[in-house]
Amino acid sequence: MSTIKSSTTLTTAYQVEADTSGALVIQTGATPTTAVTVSSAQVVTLANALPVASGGTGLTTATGVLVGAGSSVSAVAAGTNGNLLTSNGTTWTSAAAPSGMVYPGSGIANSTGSAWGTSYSTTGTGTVVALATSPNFTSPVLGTPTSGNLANCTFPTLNQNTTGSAATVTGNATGSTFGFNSGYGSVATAYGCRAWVNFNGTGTVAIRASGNVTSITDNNTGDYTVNLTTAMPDINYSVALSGSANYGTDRRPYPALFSEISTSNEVTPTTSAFRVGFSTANGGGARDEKYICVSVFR
Amino acid sequence: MNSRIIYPTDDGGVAVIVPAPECGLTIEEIAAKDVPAGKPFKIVDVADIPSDRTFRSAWEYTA
Repeated sequence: MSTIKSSTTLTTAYQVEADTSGALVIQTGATPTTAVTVSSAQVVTLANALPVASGGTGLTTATGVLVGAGSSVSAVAAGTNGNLLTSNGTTWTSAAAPSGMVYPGSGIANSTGSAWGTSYSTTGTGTVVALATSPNFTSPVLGTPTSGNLANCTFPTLNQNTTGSAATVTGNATGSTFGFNSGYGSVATAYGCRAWVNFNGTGTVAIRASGNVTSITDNNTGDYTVNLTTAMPDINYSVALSGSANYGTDRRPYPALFSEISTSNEVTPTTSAFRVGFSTANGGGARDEKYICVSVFR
Repeated sequence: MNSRIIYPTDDGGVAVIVPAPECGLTIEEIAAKDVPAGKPFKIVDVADIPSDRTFRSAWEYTA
C-alpha cells in the first residue's frame, strides 16, 4: 500500500500511502496532515465535519432534530415535554412545548370571534351565571326558571304577544299569586279586577267601554244583567256597583246586587252572569241610571 | 255594534241584550251565549228599540 502525501516540496500535490493497518490515508498541507482516512473496513473518517455546502451538516455530534439555517445546521435536543417547532417565514425556531392544555378562563368559553372574551361560569345543574356585573341581555328568552330572583331589574313594558293575547303574569309555584308593593308598604298579593263595564242605562242603552263582558241585558227599568266573557271560577266573586245621581235628594241611586229590581227578588248569580238594579233611595221605584259602573273582583 | 238581541221575559216583558263593542264576538255568538237557554230571540237594529223608556215595563216581545 502507499500513502498519498501533499507537500510543497513535491512535484505532485498529494500523496497516497498505505499504513501498516492497511488503511488508506490522505494527507494535505505543507506539513502533511491527515484529512481523510479510509480504514481497511471501508470506514471513511474526515478530519473535519463535512460542511453544509458539501452536503454535510458541519456537526460533529447531533442529538435531536436537525434544523437548517442557511449555511449552518443546528440540532434541537428533545425536550422533556416535547418541542414546538415554529417558523417565522425565514427560520425555524424550537421552543419547549407547553406543559399541558391551554384553557381560557374557567367556565363556558366566550369567543368574540377574534379573541377569548370573559367566560361564563356555571353553578348548579343547567344554570348559567354571567360574570359581568351588569350583563346586557338583548331579547332574552328566559325560559321557565323555577327559582331565583330578578333583582334590581328594569323591565320593558309587558306588551301583548304577537297573537294578540294579553301578556300573562303567573305567580309562584306554591301560591299562584302575583304581588307587588308600589307604595302599599310591603309586597302583597294583588287581586285583579276580572271584569268591568261602564254603560248608559237611559235612553238607548249602550255600553261605553268594558272588559271581559260580552253584553248587558236590559231586563226592565233600572234592571240589568251583566254577561261575562270568561266565567268566574265560582260565584263567590265580589261586585262593586255604582250609579249616577241626579235630580235632587230623592233621586240618589239605590243599587241592588243580585236582585231583580222590580220585584226585589233575589237572583242568584252564576259564574257567567249576575243581575244588578237601581231604584230611588226613598223607595220611589226602579229607575234607569245614566252612568252605571260595575267591577268584578275575584 | 248597532244590533240588539231581544227575547221574551218570563213575566211577559222583553229583555234587550246590548253587546259590548270590545268583546270580539259576533252578534250571533253573543246571542248563543247570553240568551237564556230555550228562549226565542231576534236580532234587531238598535233603531228598532224605543229610546223612550217611560213605559219600559210595558214593552212586549212579538215574534
